[in-house]
Amino acid sequence: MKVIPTPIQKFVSDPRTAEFVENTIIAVGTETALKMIGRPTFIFLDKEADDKKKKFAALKEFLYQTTCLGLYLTIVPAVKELSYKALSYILSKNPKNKESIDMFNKEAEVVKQAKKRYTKSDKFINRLINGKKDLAIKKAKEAWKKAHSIFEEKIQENSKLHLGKGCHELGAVIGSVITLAIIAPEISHFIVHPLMKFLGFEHPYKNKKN
Amino acid sequence: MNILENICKTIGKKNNPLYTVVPIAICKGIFRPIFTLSDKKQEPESKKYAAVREGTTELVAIPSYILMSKLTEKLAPAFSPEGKSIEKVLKNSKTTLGFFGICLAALVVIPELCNLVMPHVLKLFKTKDKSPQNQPFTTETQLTFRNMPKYYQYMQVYNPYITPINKPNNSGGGGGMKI
Repeated sequence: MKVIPTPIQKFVSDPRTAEFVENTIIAVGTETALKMIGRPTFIFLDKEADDKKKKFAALKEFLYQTTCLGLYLTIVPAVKELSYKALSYILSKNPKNKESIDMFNKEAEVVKQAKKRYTKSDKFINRLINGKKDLAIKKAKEAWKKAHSIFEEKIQENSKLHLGKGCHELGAVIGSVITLAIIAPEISHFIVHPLMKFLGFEHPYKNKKN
Repeated sequence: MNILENICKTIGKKNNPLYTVVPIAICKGIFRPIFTLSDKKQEPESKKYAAVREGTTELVAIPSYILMSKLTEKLAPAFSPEGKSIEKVLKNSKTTLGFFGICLAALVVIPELCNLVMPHVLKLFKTKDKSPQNQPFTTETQLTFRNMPKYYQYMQVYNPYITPINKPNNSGGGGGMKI
């Protein structure tokens, strides 16, 4: 008996969906966005706390998660690149690893060039002159997508490319941990507290008359 | 070096979102309370509450992520269309459903569990409020004052309802005229 509709089955079992969720930045970004919605909602539903404290805590949590998401999406690509360079430098000391990492970098460069050609052709001025359906832009986009899917297939089939891909993702993991566990709490302190004050939310324990 | 190599190869072969969210939760559970407690601008009590809440949230988050991811992965056969290359399709379904399990944990499971767990955790850290303002009378005098008219409760005059050993607490409590 079919319980799950076919379109949902196709979406869940699609390799592109799996590839999408395996991307560290997308996974963590989505998780942070959901926390931004879920945590303040459940703070409001907490029957143990009083209304004033609930409002304060929910707003603070919402602003904190929003700040984390913004900082994460801004900082993590740069941290990921730095971590990847550091990791590949350490692992390249072994000649076998160096060969794998160089092979990965070569394949990744092909995709990078295809993306560059697409973004160069898809500039605003080109769209303004030629319109959205310009053939050159369409071709460049398709070429980039094809290069990307060939690259992903090669990674799946060739085990030598696993090391380079792993370095990339481990760099993203390290970047995520540094950004969300160390940088975001410190920076958010300078953003969230003034914002709470601006919105008229003092801490519920302040201004308690003796 | 070998450990690093093995970690990179494992992640490169199949990158599970759990490999990211669990280390983040562990590090957040350590660093966030530390940063909160080292904040000099906040009051000690609110710092303690915030640090306990943050630590408990991440402690609850770690097993929730793992459990929800494994549970949703079990549903992969139901979400995979039958037919050719079923193993590859199952692998993709497991990856996607594992991620959805993590999303469900972040959105619903962890905040709900925190709401259930936090009151019990906070009880362990609760300090008794010993300020005399909140205890205008001793327990013995409360028992004596039970049926006493209000006039005698607030006026520090001769009060036939009070026995000599039971005295009200006069350190700024209920106010009243001093004669």
